[in-house]
Amino acid sequence: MPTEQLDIVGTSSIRVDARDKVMGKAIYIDDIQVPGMLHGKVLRSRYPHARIVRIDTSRAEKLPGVLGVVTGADVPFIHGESLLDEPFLARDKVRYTGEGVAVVAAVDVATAEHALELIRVEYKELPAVFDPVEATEPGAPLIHENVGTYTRAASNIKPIPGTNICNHFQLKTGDVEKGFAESDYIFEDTFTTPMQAHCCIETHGAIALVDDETNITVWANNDSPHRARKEIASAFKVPMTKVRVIIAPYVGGNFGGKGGLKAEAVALAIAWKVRNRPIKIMYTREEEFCSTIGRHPSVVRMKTGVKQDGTFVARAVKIYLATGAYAEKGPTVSTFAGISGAGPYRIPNLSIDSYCVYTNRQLAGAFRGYGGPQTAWAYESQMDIIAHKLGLDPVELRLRQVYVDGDRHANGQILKSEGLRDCLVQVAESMEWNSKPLGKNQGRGVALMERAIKTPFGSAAFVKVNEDGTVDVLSSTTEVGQGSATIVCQIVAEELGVPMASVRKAAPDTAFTPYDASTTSSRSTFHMGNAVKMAAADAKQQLLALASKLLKASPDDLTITQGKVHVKAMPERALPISKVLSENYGASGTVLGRGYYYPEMPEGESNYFSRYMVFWLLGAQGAEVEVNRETGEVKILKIYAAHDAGKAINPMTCLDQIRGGVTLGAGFALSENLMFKGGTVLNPSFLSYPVPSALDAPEIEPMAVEYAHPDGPYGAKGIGETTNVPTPPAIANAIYNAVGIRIKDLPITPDKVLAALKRKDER
Amino acid sequence: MTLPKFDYAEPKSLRQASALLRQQRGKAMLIAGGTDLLQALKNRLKTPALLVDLKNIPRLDHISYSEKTGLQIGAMVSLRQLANSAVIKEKYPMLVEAALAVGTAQLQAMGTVGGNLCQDSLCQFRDRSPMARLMLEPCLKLGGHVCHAVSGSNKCWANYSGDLAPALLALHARVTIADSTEKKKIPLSKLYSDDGKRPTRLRAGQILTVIHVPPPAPHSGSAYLKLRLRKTIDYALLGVALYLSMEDGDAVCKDIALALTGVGKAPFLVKEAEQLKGKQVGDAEIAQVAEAAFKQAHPLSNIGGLTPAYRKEMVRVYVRKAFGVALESAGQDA
Amino acid sequence: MQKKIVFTVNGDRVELSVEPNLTLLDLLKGQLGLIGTREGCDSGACGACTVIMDGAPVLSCMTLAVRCHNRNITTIEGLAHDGKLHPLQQSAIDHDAVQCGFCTAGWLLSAKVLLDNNPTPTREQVRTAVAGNLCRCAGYQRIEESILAVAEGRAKVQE
Repeated sequence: MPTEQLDIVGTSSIRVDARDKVMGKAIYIDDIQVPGMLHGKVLRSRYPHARIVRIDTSRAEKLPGVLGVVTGADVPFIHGESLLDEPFLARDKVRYTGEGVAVVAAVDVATAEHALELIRVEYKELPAVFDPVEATEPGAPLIHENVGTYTRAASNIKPIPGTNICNHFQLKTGDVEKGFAESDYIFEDTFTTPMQAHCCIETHGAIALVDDETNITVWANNDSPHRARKEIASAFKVPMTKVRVIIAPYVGGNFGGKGGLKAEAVALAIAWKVRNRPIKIMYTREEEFCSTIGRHPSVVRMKTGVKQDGTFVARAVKIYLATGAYAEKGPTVSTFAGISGAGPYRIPNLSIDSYCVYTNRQLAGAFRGYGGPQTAWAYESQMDIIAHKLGLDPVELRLRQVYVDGDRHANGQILKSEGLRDCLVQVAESMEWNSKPLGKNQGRGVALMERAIKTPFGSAAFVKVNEDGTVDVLSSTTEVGQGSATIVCQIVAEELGVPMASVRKAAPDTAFTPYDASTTSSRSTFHMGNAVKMAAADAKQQLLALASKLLKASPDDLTITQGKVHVKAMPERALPISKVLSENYGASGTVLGRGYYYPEMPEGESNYFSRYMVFWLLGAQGAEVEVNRETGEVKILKIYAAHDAGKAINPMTCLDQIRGGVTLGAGFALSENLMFKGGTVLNPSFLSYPVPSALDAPEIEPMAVEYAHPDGPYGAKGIGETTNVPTPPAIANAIYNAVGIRIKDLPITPDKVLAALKRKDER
Repeated sequence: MTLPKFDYAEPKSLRQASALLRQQRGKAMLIAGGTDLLQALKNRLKTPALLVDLKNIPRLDHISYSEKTGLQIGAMVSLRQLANSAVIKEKYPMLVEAALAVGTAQLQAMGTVGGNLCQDSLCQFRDRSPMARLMLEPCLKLGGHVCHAVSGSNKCWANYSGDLAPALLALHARVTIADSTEKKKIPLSKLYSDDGKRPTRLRAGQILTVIHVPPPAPHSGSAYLKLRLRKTIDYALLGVALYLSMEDGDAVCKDIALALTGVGKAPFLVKEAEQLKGKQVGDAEIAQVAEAAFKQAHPLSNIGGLTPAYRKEMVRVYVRKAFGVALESAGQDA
Repeated sequence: MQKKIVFTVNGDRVELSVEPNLTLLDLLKGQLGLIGTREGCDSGACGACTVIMDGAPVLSCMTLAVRCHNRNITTIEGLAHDGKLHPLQQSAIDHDAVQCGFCTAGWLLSAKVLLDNNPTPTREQVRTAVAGNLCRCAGYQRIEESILAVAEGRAKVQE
C-alpha cells in the first residue's frame, strides 16, 4: 500500500462547511428565492388504490392568486430510475394514499393551500394490498397491470409479468437441496422489519422553471444532480442540454432519501403547465412521512443447514421487500439484499430469491444501508440462534466462516481487501468478549454485515487552479452532511501540495460541475476521491511543466509543497503557484486538471448494478444491553462499532459517520416504526414517530479499521452508508444473551419484550 | 401549514377577556403558551375568529406560597418557571417532575400551567392535517359519525395525556374559574369531563385563572412516573402520580391520592387508594390499589407505539414503583 | 388587521406591523432575512427553529409574531460578534459537532440558554437541554462534548 508521506490525508481536518453552518449562514433550498417565484402545493390521494373518475379544478383555478392547476392528464410523462413506472402526478388511478393528484401554483403558500380545498376528485375505490408476501400470491390485486412492459434501465432488472413483483433477483451456488440433506441441523426462521422513515431534519424542496422553449431548470436539495438531470431529460423527452439541475449550497440530511425525483417531480409537473415562472414546493413534515420514501418493510425467510460442529452447508433465503406503489429504487435494493442475503460467510450451497414487491403504500427506496438492515437482521439473528443451539460461541462461529481475502464470494468474485474479520476481532477485543463480567439481566451480542456498493458507476471532476494559487474543485458530489466536501478538499490539497485553506469545493450545478453518478452508496470517497485525485495530479503535472523552465529543472525533479513549486532537493528554489501562472500566462493564468474514474470490470459483467463489487461495505458491532424484566425496557449500555474504512481520509468525520449510523440503527432496533392503518400512515409527525433524541442515543465506541483497498484513493473505501446495519441484530443477540428471548420482528419495543418474557416463563 | 386568519386581542383584565369570549359566542379562543393551540390551528382542527391573549393580564404569571394557604400558581406561569421555583422545588417536587416530563425544554419554556391542564385530548386518527384527515372518514371529534379508535362506538375516545393534571389531582389541587361576573373555586377533578371531544368542562367565557395546592403534610412523599418510548418529546402513554403522607413516627398512612393520565379520556383519581388511610402500607395494600388502578385504565391504540394491553399492564408496575418512590421520599422504607 | 410591534432582535430594535397569523419563524426568515433559523417540522417537535426569547429557548414556528412585542430575541446570527465566534460555535467546529447543519442553530441556542443559567452542567443536564433538538445525523455525542468543553473552559476561544 502507499507508503508516501501524507500531510493532510489521514488527519482530522476541520470540516470545510462547519463555519457557515454554526453561524447560520449556510443556504439551503428553502432560503433560495428566484425572481417571479410562485409557490406550489400538492393535492394528494385519500385512497390507497382507486380509479380517478373525475377531477374538477375549475373552482381552484378561479381563486384570486392562483396561476394554474395541473393534474396527471396534463403531464403525460413517466419517470423512474430503474423501471419507468411512475407518473409525475397520478393518472387514471392512484396507487397509494398520499400520492400526488394535482398541484396548484399560487402567489403564496396560503393561497395555494386554500385552492387545494376547492379541487374535487371523484374516485372509485379498488381492492388494495399492503403485505409484500400477500401481494405476490395469486389473486392479489394488481397494482401495475403492465409491469412486464415497462422500460427497464438494464436487462438485469427482472419484473414478473402479471404479478406485483417488479424485480426478482436470484443467486444460486452449489446444490442447496443436497446441502440440506447433508446437514445435521436445519434452522428455519422468518424475520420482519417495518418501514423506517428517513427523517432528515430538512424536508424535500424544489423550485422548477420550464420556459416556452422547454428549457428546464430545477433548484433542489437532491443528492445526485446528474442522475436527476438524466431522469428529467428522458421523461420529458428533451436533450440533456435543456435540463439544468442546481443543488442548493447545503443539504440538510439525506440518508438516501433525497435521490430520484420527489419534490422535483411535482414542481416539474406544475411548471410544465405554468410556464416561465419558477415554482417552489417545500414539503411539509407530514408529506415527508406519507409521500416521499422510507425503508423497505421486509419479510425474510431463512433456512440454514449446518453440521454438528457448526460448519455451514446450505442456506436458502427468500426476501420480500415491500417497495410501495412504484418501483423507485426497489429493484436495486432487492438486488443488493439478494447479493448479500446469505451473509458474509463461506456457504457452499446457496439459493437466494429476492423479490421487490409493489404494495399500495407509500414508496420505499434508498435509505442508509439499503437491503442491508433487512438481511443482516435475518442472517445475524439466525447466526446466534444456531450458535446457541450448537453450544458454540457466537464470535468463534463467525470467525470460522467469515469471508477473508481470496475467498470466492457467493456472487462469484474472488475477494480482496476484506477487512471484516479484523472488524470483528477489534469489536470482540474492545468489549472484552470473553472476560468482562456483566450484571444481572445484562447481555452482550455481536453482529456483522456486508453490503454491496453500486458498481460500476463513474465520477468525474475538474480541479481549477486560480490566478492567485487557490483551487476550485468542480465536483458533483453533494455535501449532505456526510463530510464529502471536506474529504474532496483534503485529497486535492494533499495531491496538489496546497494548504487546505486554499481549496474550495463548489456546490453541484449540472451546467458547470461534471458528471457524477450519485452521492449514494458510500461511493464518494472511493469514486470521487479517485476522480479528484486524478484531476489534482493532472493539474500538478501541468504546473510542474510550466514551472520547469522558470526553475530550470526537469518537471520530474519538481514538486509542490504548501502552494509553492520547488525543486525536490532544494525547497528554497521555489515559486508560488500564482507566480508560475503569471510568468507563463500574464494576467490570465489558469490550469485545469481533469479526472474521470470508472472502475475496471471483469468481462461480461452488467454495467448497471452488477454482481461484481468494486469494494464491499463491511462492519462489525457489539452491543451490551440490560433488560428490565418488569417493564420489558431494553437499555443499551454500549455499542462497539468497527467498520472498514480502508484508509480514514479524515479519522474524525469517519468516526462520526459510525456514531451517527449506530444511533440510526439503534432507533430502528428499539423504536422506529412508521405505522399504517390500511394504506394510511398513522404517525406522520416527530411527535409520534420516535426519532431518537440526545437522551435516547446510546453510548458508542467507534473504530475505523484500515484494511487498505488497492484501488481506493490512499487505500480508502466508503464507510458511512452501512454503519447502522449491524446494530439491530447485535442488540437482539445481546437481549437473548441477557434474558433468553428472541425477537424476530423489529422494532424491539418493551411490549414485545415483556410478552416474550411472559411466554418464556410460561414454558 | 400556514396559520388560518384570525383576529387577536390582548385584554388587560380578566373581565375584559371573559367579555370578549362571551361576545364571540364560542368563536373566540384563549391563547396561553400557544404550543397546543397553534398546532391545532395549523391543522385547522380549530378555526377561531378571535384569539384572546392572556399574557397582559396582571398576576396570572405569579407563584405564591404560604404555610397556611399553600401554593397559588397563576395559569400563565410557564412550566419552566414552575420547575425553577425554589418553593415548588422544596415543597412540591412532584410538580417539578411533572413539568419537566412535558415535551422538551422549549415546550416547557413556552407552555403554561393553565394551558397544560386544559390541553386537548389526542387521537392519531384525528390530529392530522386537513389533507391527511381526508384519508379517514371524519370521526366524532371532527363532527363526524365514526370512531376509528373503537369501531362502532358513538362516543369519542380521544386520549388525555397531560402531565400536570395527575400530579395536581394527587396533591388535592383546586382551581379558580373566572368569568365576567364571578369567580369560583372547584376541585381540579371537576374541571374534567369524560368526553373525548371536550376534555374540560369550561364553558364559553370561563377562564381557568389560578391553581391552588394545599400545603404538604409533614412526612409526605410523592412520585410522578411517565411511560413513553423516548425520554423526551413524547406524550404520556401512561402517567402515574402518587401523593401520600404518613402518621408521625409509624408506617400508617394518613393521606393518600393516586391519579392517572394517558390511559383514558380524562385524568382521574383512583378512589380506592383512599382506603389505605389509617392503614399500614404493605405489599398487599399496594397490590390492591394497583389492581384498582389497572381496572380503571382504558388505554386504546389511538396514541403511541405501544400496545394498549402493555400500557394497561404497566399501570400495575408503575403504581407499585410510585409507592416505592413516594414512601421513600416520605421517609419510609419502601 | 395588522398590529404594530416593537422588539429587539440580536440587539437591534425592530418596529413593524404584522398580521396576527404570522409566526415568528416566518417573520425572521421572510421579512428580516435571518435565514439561520430553520423550519424542520412546523409543529413544535424538532427544535430546528429554536430562538432565545428573554433568556428562554422558544420554538419560533409555534410563536405568534404579534406576541413578541417588547421582547428580546436572539437568533443564531446574534451569537457571533464582529466575526468572532461564540465559544459554543467554535467548540462545535472543533469537536465535529456539525454534520448536515440543519439542527445546528437550534441546539447552539438551547446550549447557550443552558450555560447562561448553569455554567457547569453535567452531561445529563446537557443532554436534557438539547433533547428538544433532533439531529438525524446523530452527532449527539459530539454535540454534548462540544458543549461540555465550553462549560469546562476547554474550548479554544478564537483570537
